[in-house]
Amino acid sequence: MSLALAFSLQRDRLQLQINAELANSGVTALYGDSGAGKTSLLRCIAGLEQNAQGRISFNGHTWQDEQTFTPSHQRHIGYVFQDARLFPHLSVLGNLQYAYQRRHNNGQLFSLPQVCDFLKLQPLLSQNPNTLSGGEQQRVAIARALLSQPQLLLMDEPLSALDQSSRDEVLAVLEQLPQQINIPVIYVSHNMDEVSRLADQLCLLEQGKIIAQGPLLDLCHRLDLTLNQQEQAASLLQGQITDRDSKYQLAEFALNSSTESSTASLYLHCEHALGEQLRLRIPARDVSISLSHQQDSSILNILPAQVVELMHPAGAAHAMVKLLVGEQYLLARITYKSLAQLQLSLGQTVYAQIKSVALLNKALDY
Amino acid sequence: MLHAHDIAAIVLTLQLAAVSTVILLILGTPLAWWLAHSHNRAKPLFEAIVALPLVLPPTVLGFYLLLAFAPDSPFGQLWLSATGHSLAFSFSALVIGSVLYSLPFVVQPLQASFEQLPVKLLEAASTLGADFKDRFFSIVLPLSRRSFITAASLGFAHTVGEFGIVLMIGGNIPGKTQVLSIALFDRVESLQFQQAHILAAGLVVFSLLLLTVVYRINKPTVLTAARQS
Repeated sequence: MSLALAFSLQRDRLQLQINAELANSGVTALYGDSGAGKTSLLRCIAGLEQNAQGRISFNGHTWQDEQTFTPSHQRHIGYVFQDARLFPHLSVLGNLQYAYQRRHNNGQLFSLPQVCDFLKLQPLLSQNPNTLSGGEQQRVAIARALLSQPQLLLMDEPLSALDQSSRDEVLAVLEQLPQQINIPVIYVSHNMDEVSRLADQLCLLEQGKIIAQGPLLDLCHRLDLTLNQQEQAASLLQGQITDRDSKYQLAEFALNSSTESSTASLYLHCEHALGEQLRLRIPARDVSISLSHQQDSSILNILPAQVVELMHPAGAAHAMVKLLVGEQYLLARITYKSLAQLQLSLGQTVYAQIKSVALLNKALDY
Repeated sequence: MLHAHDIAAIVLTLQLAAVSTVILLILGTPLAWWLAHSHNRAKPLFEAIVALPLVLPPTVLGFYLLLAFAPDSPFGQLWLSATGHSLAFSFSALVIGSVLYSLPFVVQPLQASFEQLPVKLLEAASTLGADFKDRFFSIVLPLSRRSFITAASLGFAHTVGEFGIVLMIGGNIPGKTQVLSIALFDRVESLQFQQAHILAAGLVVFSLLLLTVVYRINKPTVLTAARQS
């Protein structure tokens, strides 16, 4: 039971060739550069590309094969577009009712008041869509998609057309989405920060093909992927708050591990409750490596780590070092010169100095 | 003041315009939709055919219709066997002529409106579960409402004002096929200028009012406002 894809689509500058099975729960991010075919892939799933050749089936229902083509309006999907696409001749409430009246099934997942409450739409209901800000429009668009009671929610870079403050506003809503809905979400993005905040599964798209697919936590440490060789590469760590230090306003974040002995902790400032499962994002360029545990540094988080993989693309000034901290992986982006001077080798024990961490409002739930 | 013949001509004209407008909207809407969305290579030819009445003398169209409506022509025979009436010099003939003659006035505004209609909104409606018919009535129709009113008004006004075709195929039978413009022509021919004035001025005022309404309606629409924002 999942979304099975085996099709191709010929576009002017793009040959989309997809062969994949996507999870039917949680958030799957479709990540890739612009022009990689992310939106086209999403449109094929939605039935908006009539020229796609091949098979698409969802939970055992064939949406498309050689003989059949289920049109969009019968696929029971919700689609949130980059631009909100609200109907200009209807009020906000009219837009929501449009979806609700045509809902895909009566086994109701969301009622109108529920969705309005969740997306804080109450004050906007009587307004005309054209009078709303970008962030407000996108919130209405998300509400509209949810109210059609979809079995699968497709989101095409819903934040990319928004300014920074609208982006934060909508991102906060999206982060809570998995607690509100129990349907699979496919989320297209070219922003890794968004992806690490929202996704469980990652699907990497390059020039019309899926080049890697799997749990985000596995893929975000694979050094063979160009994604993790770039300057903005980052590691994701999961764990929970185990203690609070009221004097210094810091919390102790213990990385998840299967045994007591292999655990490791970081200190950070946050308001989260003890015991809450959380995700940390650590940019690889904010991790440095030293051979000894420096005591005379302002860097708070210095963790013993083991070198497990080295990657230095020929001719590049930087190298990526994959470290094992407790039972989890941490990437460090250091200069090639440092790599040579430290004479790092596989299996070596070093100290990872972590300059910054970002706490994400998202626990890995697989 | 108005002669009974003139009143009959006015009533007949309004009937003809109303029936023609309804038929034009029913036929013109799918035709305009096809012209707006087709990638067929023959599309310019069909657009040219629709626009032909704009440039041809009405008498040309009238001449060919007269030939087609003759009881011994294939079309005339078909009509006779289907309805039991002869098409020549009948109200039905006037309707067919008017529909053809006013076609561009209905199809062109609708086609322009359909071409500008954002496909994006139709895609969104589709993902929300609306089928083609539903999308047409819930999105296309409300967003092109003004164009439909314009198309209907122009079709109506143009049918009221036609002369040449009606003269060729109608036969000028008072109470049956004599429309306003021809009644006016008769008055002038028989030098009854006062009667002619009433009919002519009436037509000017009526047309002016209708066109004013059309231009008033065609202020920036919801749709263009949405596109500008």
